[in-house]
Amino acid sequence: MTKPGVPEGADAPGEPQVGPAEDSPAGQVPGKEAPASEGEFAAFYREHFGRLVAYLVYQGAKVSLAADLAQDAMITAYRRWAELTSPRAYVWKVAGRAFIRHVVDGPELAVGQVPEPDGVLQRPGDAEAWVQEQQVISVLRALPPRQCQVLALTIDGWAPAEIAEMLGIDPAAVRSSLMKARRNADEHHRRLVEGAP
Amino acid sequence: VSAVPPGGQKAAEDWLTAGHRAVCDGLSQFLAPEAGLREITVLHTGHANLLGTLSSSLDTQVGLAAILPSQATETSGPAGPPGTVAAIAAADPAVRLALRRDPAILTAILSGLTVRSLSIADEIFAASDLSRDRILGLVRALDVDLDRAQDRAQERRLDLRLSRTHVSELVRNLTGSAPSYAAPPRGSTLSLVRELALVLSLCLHHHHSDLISARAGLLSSNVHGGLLVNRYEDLDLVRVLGQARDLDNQIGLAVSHALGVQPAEGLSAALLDGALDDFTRTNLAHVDLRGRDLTGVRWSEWGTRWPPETDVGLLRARSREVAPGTGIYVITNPGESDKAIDRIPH
Repeated sequence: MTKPGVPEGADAPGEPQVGPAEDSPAGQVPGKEAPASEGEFAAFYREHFGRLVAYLVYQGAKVSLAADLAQDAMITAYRRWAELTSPRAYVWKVAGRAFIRHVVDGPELAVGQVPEPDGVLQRPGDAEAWVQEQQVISVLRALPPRQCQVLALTIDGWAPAEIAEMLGIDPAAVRSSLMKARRNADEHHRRLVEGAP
Repeated sequence: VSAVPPGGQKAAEDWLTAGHRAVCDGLSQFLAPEAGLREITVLHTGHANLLGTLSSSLDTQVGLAAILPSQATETSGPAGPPGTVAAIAAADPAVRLALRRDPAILTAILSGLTVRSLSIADEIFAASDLSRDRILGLVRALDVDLDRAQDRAQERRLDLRLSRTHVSELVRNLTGSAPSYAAPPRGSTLSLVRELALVLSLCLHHHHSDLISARAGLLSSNVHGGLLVNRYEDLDLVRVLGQARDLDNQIGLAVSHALGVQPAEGLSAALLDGALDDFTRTNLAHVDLRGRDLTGVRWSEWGTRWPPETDVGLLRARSREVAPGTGIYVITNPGESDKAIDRIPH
């Protein structure tokens, strides 16, 4: 979803991807003001939340972690909604980086521990079991990280230029990664067809 | 989408695209986006409204001042002279970032403290009817600012503890019951200003800055030399104080010129209050931060704009929020924070 009058990906989606800092109205609690249009945010949330969770799951995140990180990214976007010019790129980038930090810092949950259900994710154990059965997820997770990102975004409808901006890489690198990802995905795909391990 | 059709790359991508839709649909049976939306719009809006109501009905500055009467609050920003603070805030952020680690800044701060010490000494020496309360207020304020300057001094391997010892002695004498104030406060005051002048001299001579002129160095030597008399009766305090003020003006001019701002009163106080470190409303989007030591930089979630490649989450992790919920942070972890400026490799 693109905010009115602002083409999606038309500006650099680096973090923070915001408007002028000098515009913060005096007398308000800084960073806590509600978006100008809650309806606009709600529509954005409903359209993108599940897709963002799927994107993180493709990267290797457990579904409970993916839901948490996606929710955190949405909260961040909500707080800065009035300033964001490309919210989709923003939340994808915030959540993606949070997942990388999680991987780098190490998981907080003990191995095998099933997280408690929270408001956003119902039956986390069942959800994780369901995720494990999805061959699409297996194929994407088998790809190198960059190829996984590029292909996951492509099948979600992102244009190469939008991917390049969101990931902060050259469009040529996107095309190169996408070509390799398609080739590798095809190989995994063939193995699945042929029933090879 | 468990059935895997045969075919080439196109078929594989079509299968993945269809599978992605199925994954999104399938996840929707476990995800409750309305609950997530409620969490954000109800809880966070409610929290924001609560904070807004509280901030309008509670005067936290008054409450905090009652607890910490002599210290500025961290959330209130630089508390130096408003005009000077505003001028520094309006300076080129790249210049501010470069200058905040220059030895001239500590020199300017110490120069201001030396003038204040000499002014106190002048009052004590000149007054026939010493107003203890007034002097005590000045000394206590000086003690607070010496304490605040201590960290900056330590970065340059300078120690202000001895200066503070003299201040403590002054305070003891001024608050004591002894009717005779004359000798002990005078001796302590003289020791204090000598000690400060010595530290200032060291700062000027051993921590060279291109900003500090040779004239400033000479003035510093004069101030220091003027205080190296053995008996305070022989001290020409008026002359030394004049030289110290001249020195303070010289250093202030040099720092103002480097910042590209008009020289203004209270520069030393504004620098001590961290005016150079305050980037809470600054646009740094086009500033090259690579290789910069950002330790001590104050920034905010709501007002600081970072270069696009900045990992603000990592920066936040390396920072301390000055008070919960303010969104104002101080970068505390040297070195590590600078990594946030670089792109995260994927």
